[in-house]
Amino acid sequence: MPRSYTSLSLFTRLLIYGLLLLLGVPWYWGFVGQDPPRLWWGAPAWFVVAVLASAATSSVTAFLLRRPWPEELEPSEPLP
Amino acid sequence: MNEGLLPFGAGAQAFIVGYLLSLILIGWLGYRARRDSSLRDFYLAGKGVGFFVLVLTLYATQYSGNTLFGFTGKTYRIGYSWGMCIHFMTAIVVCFLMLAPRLYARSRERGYITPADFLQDRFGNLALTVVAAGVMVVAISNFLLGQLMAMGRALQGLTGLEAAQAYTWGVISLATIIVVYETLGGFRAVAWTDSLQGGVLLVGFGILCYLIFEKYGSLGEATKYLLASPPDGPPKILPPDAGRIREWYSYIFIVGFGGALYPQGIQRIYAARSAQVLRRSLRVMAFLPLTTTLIAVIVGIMAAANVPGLSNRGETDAVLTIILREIQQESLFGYWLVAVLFAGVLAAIMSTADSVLLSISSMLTKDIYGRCFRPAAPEKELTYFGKICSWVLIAILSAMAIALRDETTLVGLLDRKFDLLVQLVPGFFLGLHWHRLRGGAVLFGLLAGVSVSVALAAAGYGKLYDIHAGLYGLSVNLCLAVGGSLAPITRESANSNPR
Repeated sequence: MPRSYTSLSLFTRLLIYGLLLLLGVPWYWGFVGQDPPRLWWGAPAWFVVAVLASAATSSVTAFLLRRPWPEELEPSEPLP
Repeated sequence: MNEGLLPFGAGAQAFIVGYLLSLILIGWLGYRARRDSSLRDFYLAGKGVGFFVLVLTLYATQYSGNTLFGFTGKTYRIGYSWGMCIHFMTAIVVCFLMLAPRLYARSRERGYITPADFLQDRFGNLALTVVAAGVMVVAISNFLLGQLMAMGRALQGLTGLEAAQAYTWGVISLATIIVVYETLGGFRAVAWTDSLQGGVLLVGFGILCYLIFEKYGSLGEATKYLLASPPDGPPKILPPDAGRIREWYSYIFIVGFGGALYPQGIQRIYAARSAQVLRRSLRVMAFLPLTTTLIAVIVGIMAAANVPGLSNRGETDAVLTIILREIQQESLFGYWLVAVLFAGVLAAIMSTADSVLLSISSMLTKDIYGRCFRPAAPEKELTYFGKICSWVLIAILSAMAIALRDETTLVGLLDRKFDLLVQLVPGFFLGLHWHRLRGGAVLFGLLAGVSVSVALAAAGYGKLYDIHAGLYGLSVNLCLAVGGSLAPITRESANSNPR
């Protein structure tokens, strides 16, 4: 039987998303203090990191969506 | 003279008119494909839609006039900090992950049509169902109003008429096209036109990306130019300050949860042909912020560096039109690319508007009229009533869009919509996962949350300490819903036990 996405525990999922949320919002760049700001691929480094964190969030979400939902493994009744 | 004019010739105008007429043709095909006069057939296309249509209709519905005009304008004003929009659009799909699995399974078992059908089924509390439907109708009517205003602005750029006149005719003509194809084919017409519109929109964003680099050079040059242009330039490049950081988090939560509760989005969950189709569609949706909102941010930065001097919100929301006009005048190739892109702009706006209109019509018909006034009405009568609703609603909102032409901005409208939608979080998110939640408590929480959000916004605190008013309302709402559900059970509340 295929594993559903809930086989990754709720705690693990929350931890991953929480870390990505912390990484994706650039609160910590105030401590780095670059003057002038460093540019990566033409954009400020803090922005590139935020975009990469967003891409990682998308990838994790897509990974979780590859696995069947528990409700799929217990087929529901068809519509009348 | 119309300042936002894109001087299209007869050929390009014919292309755009042809595109608009093709939408009516699709509506007619949807009408031909109908199976019966049931609500499910009209509002959810019977047994549902497959992967290709579902992903494009989700995409075209989720990304709207706000994305193109509002997001580029906002980036123009505040710079890279508006990169938060990439996060909050991704957050919607993450929140779908919490909502969709159980909601989809229940919708298949119970035959839901509107979002409030779930609340009625789960809590059996008519007052909650009707109030929740009312909140959703008000919230997305606001959204529809925003789309109608965006249509007017878009058409300002197409015709040689005076600006106010072009805006008025833009609203009236595009709103009429939408309501015609929707009345003909219902969800089928909307989803099929969304597929066309979603495709055009994807191509449009690709073209926009190409055009912007071709015309203005690299992103690095624009960034360096802004850095060297005090006093306005550097703040658009530097990392956000503490206030803006709070705003990032606020947007991520309010748009993530609120966006997952778009009624038109929930109805697309119901309309998936299978859970597998839904999962595949959401997998694609997870990456679309990177191909859409990221491009809008880049365009906003390029505009800030290369079209300086715009100050008020109305002007900056129209900066995309100004750029397109410049590109269009430079070469024949640019001219035709802009024509296709303009069709993409119309697609973004119309595809969102049609989905919202259909969703409002379904809620007014089934949740308000059907439940409160005509519980025994045959489905054919309800379907007919829903079509009438669409026409009346589009007439009222078009009149408002024309009257409010210079009153507000697209992003401002977006904020108020989510303040309301996010108040439905306890009913849906907790309702799906926590069996002790009671309908009465959810209702009181909802009323309190909406009151707090609206009162704060009305008092001029749309954001208090950079946090949206809706999140303050949601805090009160959650306390009441959870606290009320944990309180000792009485005979009265026992009647709303979870099923």
